[in-house]
Amino acid sequence: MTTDMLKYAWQFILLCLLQVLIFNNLNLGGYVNPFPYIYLILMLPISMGRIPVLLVGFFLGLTVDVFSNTGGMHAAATTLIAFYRPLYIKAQSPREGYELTAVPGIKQFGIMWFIPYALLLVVMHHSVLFLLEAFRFSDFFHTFLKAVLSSGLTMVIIVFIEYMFVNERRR
Amino acid sequence: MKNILLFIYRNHVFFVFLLLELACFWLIVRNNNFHRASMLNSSNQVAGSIYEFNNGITEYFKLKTINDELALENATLRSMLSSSKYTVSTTNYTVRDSVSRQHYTYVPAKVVNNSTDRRSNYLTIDRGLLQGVQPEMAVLSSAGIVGIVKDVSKNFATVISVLHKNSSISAKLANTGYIGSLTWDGRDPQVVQLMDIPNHVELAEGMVVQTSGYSAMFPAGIAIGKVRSFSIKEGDNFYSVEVDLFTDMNAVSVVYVVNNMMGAEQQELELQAQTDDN
Repeated sequence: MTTDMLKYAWQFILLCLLQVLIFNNLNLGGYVNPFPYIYLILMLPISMGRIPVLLVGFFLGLTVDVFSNTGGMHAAATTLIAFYRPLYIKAQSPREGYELTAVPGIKQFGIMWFIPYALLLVVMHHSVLFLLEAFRFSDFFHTFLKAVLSSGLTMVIIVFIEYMFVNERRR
Repeated sequence: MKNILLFIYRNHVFFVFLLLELACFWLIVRNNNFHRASMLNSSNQVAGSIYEFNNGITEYFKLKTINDELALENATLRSMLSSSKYTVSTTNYTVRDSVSRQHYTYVPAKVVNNSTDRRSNYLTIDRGLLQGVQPEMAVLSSAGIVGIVKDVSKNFATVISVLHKNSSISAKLANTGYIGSLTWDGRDPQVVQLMDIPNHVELAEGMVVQTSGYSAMFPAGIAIGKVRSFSIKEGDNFYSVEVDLFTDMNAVSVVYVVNNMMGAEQQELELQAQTDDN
């Protein structure tokens, strides 16, 4: 349990640093800003309590906020998906329930399960974030396009991480 | 009462969620107020130090451009020196200059973090309170304007970029003297919008836009950009003017923080005029 905690703490720091030092500076035509740091929320263990997931989401968002000077925008978006994630997982649960050690990922659940799961949370997070950032509906198409394109790139990066780095996690 | 407690207990996850979201919105609203000293932005020591470390690495890749910029600026300044001027008059004067007093001083700073792709962009610079940086000071690059200081810590400061949704800087068309305010529509980081230019002004593409000097922050006559295009809606009294920035906000790395030594005096006086009105 403690090694797991340490592993997640390390991934928290790594993902935040990657986000603020690399992905925040990725500026593709002003339309595409990927936010792959939310991968941390996606891959929290399924058995984790709802309140701890919420708190992890909140502090993850807040950390990125501090570095991006965005007040609480990231925190608002990550808290929302951290709240919604257990609801989705519960609705999708197999008849015999999940294994206790299950971690959402391609290796354990297959790509057909993972893509809709990740896509839903990523789109939710990006839409909320970009709407909060614009703070009005007048540029709706511009904001919408940004959210869609960025979600696409975030998905590509998350699936890439899943395939490249998550091979030793089989238990 | 018991029922309420039971209701809260049954939905406690939702209430924790609600509480956290409220905290987020409070932070967002608070962040939108100017100049609130706060730990939760990149002017704090931890974030500042990480950005400074990162900049220490990436700076090497930008050295050539920085050198070119500084050399160009040096050349401009050197041409202003009295030694590079030919004296037309044949008599010599000794000038004891008591006519001019120092109005602005400049603190050089390095940009350690920058963004241009959001709706509200900020920069972080590696100078703060200890080096004389205060909130509401103007920030310039060697090419033009960059923004206004927002929050200051001991050794770092955050700067509201001209590419910010609340940024509004007083600017004028150089050869007509008409004043407008400079805003950004959030699209192209190279193009800002000049508002409030009345429709009888004769505009031309390529006209230079500079600071007006009306605010106590920016010195007058600092170049901002060139008019790229302009249009006017039918029945509208004001042009919408697109201005090409001289500063490349994506590549800005060395900046100057402007300290207006008479700024406080001017503001005090203007405030007096305003309170007299009310």
